[in-house]
Amino acid sequence: MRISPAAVAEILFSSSPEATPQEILVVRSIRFPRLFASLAAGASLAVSGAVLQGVLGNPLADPYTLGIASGAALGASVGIHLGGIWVSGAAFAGALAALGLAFLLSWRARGASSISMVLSGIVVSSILSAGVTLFKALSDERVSAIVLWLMGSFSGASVESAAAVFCGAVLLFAAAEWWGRELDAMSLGEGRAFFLGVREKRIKITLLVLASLAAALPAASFGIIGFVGLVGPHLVRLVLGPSHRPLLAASFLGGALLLAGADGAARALGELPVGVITALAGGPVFCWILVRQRGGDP
Amino acid sequence: MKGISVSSLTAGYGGRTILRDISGVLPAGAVTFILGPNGSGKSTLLRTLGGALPFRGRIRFSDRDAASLSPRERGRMVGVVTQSPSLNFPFTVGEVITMGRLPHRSFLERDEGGKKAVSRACKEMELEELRDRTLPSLSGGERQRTMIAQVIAQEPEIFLLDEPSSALDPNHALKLFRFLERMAAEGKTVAASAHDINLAAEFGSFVWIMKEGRLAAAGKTGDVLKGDVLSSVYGSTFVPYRREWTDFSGTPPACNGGEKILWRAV
Repeated sequence: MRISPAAVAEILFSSSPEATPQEILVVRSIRFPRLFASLAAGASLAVSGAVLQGVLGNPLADPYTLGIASGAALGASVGIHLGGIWVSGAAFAGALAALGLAFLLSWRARGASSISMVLSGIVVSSILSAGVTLFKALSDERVSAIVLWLMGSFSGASVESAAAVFCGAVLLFAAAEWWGRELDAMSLGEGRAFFLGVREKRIKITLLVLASLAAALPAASFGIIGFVGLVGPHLVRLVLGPSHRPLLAASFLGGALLLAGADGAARALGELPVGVITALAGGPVFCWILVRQRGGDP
Repeated sequence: MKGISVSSLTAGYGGRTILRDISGVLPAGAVTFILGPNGSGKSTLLRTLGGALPFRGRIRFSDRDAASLSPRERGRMVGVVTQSPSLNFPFTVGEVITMGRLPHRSFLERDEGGKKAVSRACKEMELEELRDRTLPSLSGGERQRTMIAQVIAQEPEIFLLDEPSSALDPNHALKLFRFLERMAAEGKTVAASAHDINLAAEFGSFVWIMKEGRLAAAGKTGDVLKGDVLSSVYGSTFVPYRREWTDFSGTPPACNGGEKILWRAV
């Protein structure tokens, strides 16, 4: 169905649009929520990635290396295995539980230093991934539902879930922007921020919690959409540099556009899972960034 | 008493005690060098004074108890030069130095004098040309100068420097210690750890010598730097020598109040 942009605007903003009921249904209940959801999830994941990288002083940190994805995946698998109700809730709980586990592990190991945090995330991820595989093996007839969920999709997204994700993104963005200069100092590592009078522990914990929530919300509602949180901030850093105030704002916008674009591509290619698109496109882009950095800065 | 006074200071990492029962004074208006063998607690002492480690005992900055300072107050009062920063993010030299203004700014408040402090710091460490270069693209010594410049931009009352000249060439090391002497002359408190005893002999008014986490000797440079003290702390024999200028064309360059006795391990 083709609907002109002017007609779309009219359907969205006018109370009595001149369009067929079918067109109104498609725009208001299908396309708009889907676009809103992909924009909000993109912003959320990219800002979350930028914040985690800054707070942990580690450019490899992203919501998924810290265990959020595998936690959400395991939660969702359990939910689907048990009959498919409360899948989002189970995924959200799984994401938070995985993060909690990663935090606890790294705390016990070395006091939540950046490297132990990333290592803990990787360990927790691989254990939980084994759990996902187990549930796939156990749920004969539901295995396709699990696989489909794991690949991530915005089709059938509701305005409510998109709004929840958007709120998470805005909350994290506001807090991180407020502490933008402190984040700059924290990403220098070596306790620099502390010696510059920053309340490092308080800011770190607050931002870690908000970033985790902001990444767990989209994972719970739309499945696993990788690489946006990792590649988004890196792309922005190439253009704007590492300073956090501009970086966060551009990540918010850039992540939103990136994921909405990826979802558009996924739909145009015949409803591919959007997670597949982001991983297929994001992986090579990340490789390119890595190689470029090596070559550019001797 | 202006400066830092420490009484019965005990500190360490986790369950491991490194500093044991240290009492003494780092006076304002003077450069104090902290000497001692590897692992004697020099860095730990500086980090503890900087507030980064929990401690027992008491640390006072002039008339304030160190424990009573808010992080921001501490950031304005104490500047700590540590070893090289993380190179994970390509901040420019200018950005890193500007971070030194952090304790003087808030979200919306303008930092009066910030620009001036930053360009002064750039000038002191001769970084004007490098301002737009990124940290990972610099040499080790240039990075060290950048981190020192950050602390200069911070404009603290107390400078704590952990081996600040370890990567510097002789020209920039000299500029750094001349700068620190000037800071001391302005009434600031300066404490720097070093391995080179002769840096202390040339630029230090006072010396603290650490051994195995304790303060083995402290006092005026000339009183503390003695062969028997150095031998007992470092283990090898130390012999004094006078500097001989190779430039016989005229008067020797001014060197902080005339002839100094230097030390060499044999």
